[in-house]
Amino acid sequence: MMMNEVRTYNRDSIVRASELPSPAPREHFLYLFGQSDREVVESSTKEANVGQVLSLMNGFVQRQLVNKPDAHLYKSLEGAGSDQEKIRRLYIAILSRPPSEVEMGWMLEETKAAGEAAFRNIAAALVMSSEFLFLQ
Amino acid sequence: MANAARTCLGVHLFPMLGSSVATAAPADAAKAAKAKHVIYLFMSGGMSHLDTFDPKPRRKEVMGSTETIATKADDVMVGHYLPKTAEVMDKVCVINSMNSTQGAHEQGSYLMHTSYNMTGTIRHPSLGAWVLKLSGRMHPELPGYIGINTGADLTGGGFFGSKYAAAPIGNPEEGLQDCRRAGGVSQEDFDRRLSLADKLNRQFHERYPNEDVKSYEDLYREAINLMNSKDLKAFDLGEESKATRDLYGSGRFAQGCLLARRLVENGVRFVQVQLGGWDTHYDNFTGVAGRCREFDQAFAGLITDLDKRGKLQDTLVVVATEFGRTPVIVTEHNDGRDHHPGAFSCVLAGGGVKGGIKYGQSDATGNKVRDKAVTIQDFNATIAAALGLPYDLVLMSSTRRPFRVAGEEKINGKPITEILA
Repeated sequence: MMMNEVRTYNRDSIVRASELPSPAPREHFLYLFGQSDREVVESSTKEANVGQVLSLMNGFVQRQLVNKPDAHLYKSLEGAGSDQEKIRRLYIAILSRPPSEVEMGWMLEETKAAGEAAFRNIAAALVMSSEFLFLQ
Repeated sequence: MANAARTCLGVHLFPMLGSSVATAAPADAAKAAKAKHVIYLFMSGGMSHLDTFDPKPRRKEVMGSTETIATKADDVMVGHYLPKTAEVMDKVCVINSMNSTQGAHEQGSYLMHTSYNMTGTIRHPSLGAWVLKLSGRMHPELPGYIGINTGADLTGGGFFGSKYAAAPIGNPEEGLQDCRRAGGVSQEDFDRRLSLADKLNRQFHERYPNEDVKSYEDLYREAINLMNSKDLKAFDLGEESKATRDLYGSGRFAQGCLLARRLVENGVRFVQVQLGGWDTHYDNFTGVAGRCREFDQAFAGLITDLDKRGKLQDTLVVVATEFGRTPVIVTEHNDGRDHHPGAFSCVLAGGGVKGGIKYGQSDATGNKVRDKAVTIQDFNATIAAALGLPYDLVLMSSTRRPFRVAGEEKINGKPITEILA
């Protein structure tokens, strides 16, 4: 019987969670964000650490999303008629909600001040948002 | 940048990040303290005591193929897998009478790192978090607690909060990842991003004040301070000479030990380095030989190097594991050894402890403790005492329950004064 072909991917490929090997390599962001290293069967942790913040600001998320011109996020801005519409799309894509009026004001200021870089800056700020915290 | 750091993404600033309670230490303890830093080497999986630091040369039936060799310290012998370690044993204190109440990895490692048993209701701070909490950080920007190649579940901040958790380094060769701005992001854009995020988060916190939220803000502030530090080269092994790198040997653990030395030299309080794979149920002797090849040169190199630089006197080097392994050799598992919390060995060296000695004794076959039993709580209290920290100081969790670095009061963990220098 033929074995199924074993697929390999480079480190920044996007694959299904079920296709990822476990444990992830020590350099991988899954390790950084608390995946079990399988030294014992289940030793994952949800606790934050400073490495995660550095990764959000400067690492994986920047490479894969914020500073990647062909990221799906930026493709979704194509055809938007105005800066306002672009900001609205970024908000919906990242936070699943439209911006409030106050927020729209801040973001429009950003587009005036920073030009094209503004959309990357907005995406970066939204990804860093505390709104991703799980609150009870 | 300085401005972004000052506005702090929406929370009030304390003048110092790691607010310390060191002033609560009794004056005599502080005076006795010799160690300022800890390098904690964790042998994950359960290091066989018989094959490493507690050999029984006269009992062939428990030793299997392990030979016993003499060391630079009279009376102290080690397994033959540790020839280089044997050469530095005059600077090392071996504790042969460790015992634990937990015989499974997860529970045993948790107890070793926290002095408490796992419970569903609270996460206890790890030893590094305790040390940081009790003594404060030394360097204003570099993290006070760093874990190299280490399980993050064992280096957490527990109820002290995530700012006391270890900053993780996966691969020592790469140092702390992402501590510089991503390519193509100007300082100006970086600052703009932070200031935008700050505005958004401020608004969010007003609506949802929450302890965790504050804790994340602490981490952002910490990260930004770190990025601005002039001492980021502390993370760069490339600054070390080839001779020094070769002294430690190759591999993640070895180079992790070297990085640990660089970090304590730069004012990091507590560095943990992990060496996994000690769970030698199957073919113990091949397994231990392999682990010791990683450990032996690195540990001896670390002690030698610290000593040469005058840093051994204020750095406590710890070798710990969650439990030992059975004197019984399981032949049907190709000469394996199983978990054995009843008696095992740990090692202390450097600042605050005497060298060239062993403390406590296991019985003739390494099965049970015979003399001067040392509990996990005693062991952690000893580490605290070597640092001049109040091992019996009670700190309250946010739910107003009392905790100590030496564990529950009724267990009565006490420093081993005999081995303290």
